[in-house]
Amino acid sequence: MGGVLHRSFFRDLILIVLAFLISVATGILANRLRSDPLPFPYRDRASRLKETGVKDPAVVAMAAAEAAWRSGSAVFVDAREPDFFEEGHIPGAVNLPVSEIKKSLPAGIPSDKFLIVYCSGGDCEDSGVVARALMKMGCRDVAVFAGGWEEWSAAGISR
Amino acid sequence: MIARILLALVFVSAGVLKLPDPLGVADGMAAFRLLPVWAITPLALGIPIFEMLVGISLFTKRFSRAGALAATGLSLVFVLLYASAVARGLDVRCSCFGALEFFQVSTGAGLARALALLGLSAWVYSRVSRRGA
Repeated sequence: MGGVLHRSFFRDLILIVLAFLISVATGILANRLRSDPLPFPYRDRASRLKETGVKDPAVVAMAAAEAAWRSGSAVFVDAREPDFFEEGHIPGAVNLPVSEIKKSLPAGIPSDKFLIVYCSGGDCEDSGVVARALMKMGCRDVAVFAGGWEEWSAAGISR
Repeated sequence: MIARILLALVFVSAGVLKLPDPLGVADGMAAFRLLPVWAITPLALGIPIFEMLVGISLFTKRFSRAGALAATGLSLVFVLLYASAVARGLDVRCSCFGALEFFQVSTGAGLARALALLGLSAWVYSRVSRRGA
């Protein structure tokens, strides 16, 4: 009985591998027929936005970000997902995660003001992706605060 | 029987809902930061079809055991992906059920959902393989 079980298990495994290979081959063939085929190899959101000709956003340091926040001369855009935004964010910031980027400018983000986009900090890439998307939507004055929420919260800034 | 049909419906709907949005599926896979770049496009194109095949096989008598084994394997991969994302503090919103926002849950909830799917798949596999033996 154990031998029968082993045989049927390996037969199932072969069937699964075959079905998987057929699925991938069918997917690749169907992709060739699409009007907007998925690129091969895959290019992430940041590189797709770069290809549209949008220039790199400026980068601001902690001191400049804090000065802009104190004077109210900039609108802060938090590029993290809503759960993280709700746990804590720069006071007055508007939440626009990468997953929420649409073709037109969301409400609450003015195109004629200085926009400072941030994410978690460190090596997070979402602020750059959101900043480029905002520039593509017509916002002229956009910068990335590279230190992000980590640096801001660590500084313990209050009005 | 009910568990097998439920599992079949989960996999068929996951596959069907992903089909119109391969770019969203690819972005979702890339968000885990584990897969090599060359693998993302073929997997994003193939996984939805494979999930549909797994779901359809669970409706049949002949292929339900292989389907349940594949469902268990896929669920285990989902659990490992989500667990590693939770451990690394990543916020992953995978398009596991296409662009439907209702299913785009937080990383922790995604792990819980994957664990539940693994439990269901393993249970269905244990039932159908016992019946087959």
